[in-house]
Amino acid sequence: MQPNDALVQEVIRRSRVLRARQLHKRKLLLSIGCIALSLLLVFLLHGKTGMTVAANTEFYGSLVFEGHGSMYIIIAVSFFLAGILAGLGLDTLRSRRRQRRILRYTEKWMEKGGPATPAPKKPQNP
Amino acid sequence: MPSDYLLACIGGPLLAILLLHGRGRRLFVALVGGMFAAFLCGAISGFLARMVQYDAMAAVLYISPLVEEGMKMVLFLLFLFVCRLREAELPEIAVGIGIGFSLLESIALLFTAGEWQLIVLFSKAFCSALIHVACALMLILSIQTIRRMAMETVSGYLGVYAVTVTVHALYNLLVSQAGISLILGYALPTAVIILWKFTPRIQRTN
Amino acid sequence: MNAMTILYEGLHCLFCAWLTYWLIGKTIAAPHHPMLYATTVAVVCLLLGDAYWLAHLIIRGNVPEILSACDVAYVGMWLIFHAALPRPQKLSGRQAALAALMGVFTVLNGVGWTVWTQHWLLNLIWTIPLFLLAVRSALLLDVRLNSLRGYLFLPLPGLLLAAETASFLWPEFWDSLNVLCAILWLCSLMLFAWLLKGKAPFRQLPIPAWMLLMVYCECASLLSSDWAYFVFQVLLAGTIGCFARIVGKEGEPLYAL
Repeated sequence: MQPNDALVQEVIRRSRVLRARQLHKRKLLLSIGCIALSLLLVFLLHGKTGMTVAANTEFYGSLVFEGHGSMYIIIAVSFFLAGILAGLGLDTLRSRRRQRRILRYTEKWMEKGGPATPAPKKPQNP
Repeated sequence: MPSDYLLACIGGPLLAILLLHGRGRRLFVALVGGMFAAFLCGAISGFLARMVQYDAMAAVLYISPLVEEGMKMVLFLLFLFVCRLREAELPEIAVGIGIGFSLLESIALLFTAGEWQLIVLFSKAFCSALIHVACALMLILSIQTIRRMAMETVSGYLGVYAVTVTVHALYNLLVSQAGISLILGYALPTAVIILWKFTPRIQRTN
Repeated sequence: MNAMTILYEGLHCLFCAWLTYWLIGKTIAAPHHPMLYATTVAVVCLLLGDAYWLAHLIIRGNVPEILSACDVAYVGMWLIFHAALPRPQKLSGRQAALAALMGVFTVLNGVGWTVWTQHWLLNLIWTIPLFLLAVRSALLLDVRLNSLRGYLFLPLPGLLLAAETASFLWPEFWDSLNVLCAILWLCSLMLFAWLLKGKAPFRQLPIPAWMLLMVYCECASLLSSDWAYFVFQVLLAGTIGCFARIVGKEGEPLYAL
């Protein structure tokens, strides 16, 4: 099978579609994770936090809360940040594993004869 | 009034996220992210202030800029690395995060305002929006530039963080005193936003 | 806080403002030079730190609290310089030796600041970027420590360590030891610059060498007090100014790295 412009364009188009699907999946996972975590936090922290806005009547540059329960927020934010790093790490490991598989397959294919190898036939319907 | 009630204001933007697509959805996600991050920053700043025994004024001057710019950076990097946004989409995210931050601060201002004139409340809310959007735009401009200049390392990101923290802290310090410093404080984010508007023109002339 | 300090801070601020203005003009004219861009951002950090310090002094009437926005700005300056340096490609014995020397030197300075001020967190935040910058700059240079210049320079850090330790242990001799330390710092700085320049003229000093000189001046100023602190801060400002001038004139410098 000789590579030509149409084939190259098709490969590029398919890789873009795959990439878009991967990003969409990632965004969905992140959104579901955030919503689930937020609901869990609302359930766990119900009645445990009692914060009010600190009064700064002279000026307003930033928001500061006074009261009790803010350490739970710190713990939640730390776990969230750790979760992001863990998720990015897992994603990197997964894509590296996939790339290694693709490389192994490509090497095997090239050893067998590369483009001269006939394309696998589709199984015929009985 | 408990501060948790502030989160009730997220209802409207959440509906917009469900109904919109593309750029509009992205903008509202950034807005909701900014509001949520502002809530978390309030709690974190309060916690750190209690830990080092600062009062609220000292917390606003010395702790809040560090926490708020850090959260903005985390949120922004989340959009950048997880969602893999293109460069042209980044200013919308920055503006959304900045406006979300200032929106929640303005709503919290109403909680504690008492008997204030409408024009004073409006100017405080507007200037709060100015500084948060200015810092967010500075953040993305710096991150875009360090990526182009091959300085995209931990040191580069921390350096960008240092610049935005100092500008925010300088603003908080200047607006804490009435008079010339208040005017200079309000002029600072205005100057940053004007510079932002001129930056593409400067780059085009080269 | 006396009038001299406020005057010094004001002049330092004006100098940084002028340097920022000049560098921004150079960056707009030549936008694709990373080192020029990094120097501009670093000087902006310095200006912001000075502006915050002055604003705090005028508005609040006292110096900022420990770990304030000016510390963040100054540390940001060192981080930007570190980010602008490339990774070293190959490692020779000479580079490793200089890197080890500068690493130990910076860490010992950090320990000295912690013992003096009793603030471990702030000094840790200051020591780490200076350590990283010193080590990376040293790894990018080819300096012979086993030469005449090296043999003349090397005893001085040891003498400095002894003098500074003596000033902590015997504070009753603080005045005379302070003068001795300042003289030792100054002599060691000059010998260090002489060692780094090698046989080439001073104006051809590579960029990592300038970074090392800046780190040295900063360490000297942080362990000095009274007039000595201002002398080394002025030297640091002068070093940054010379460095900025070289980077601004050459665009991408020819002799660096």
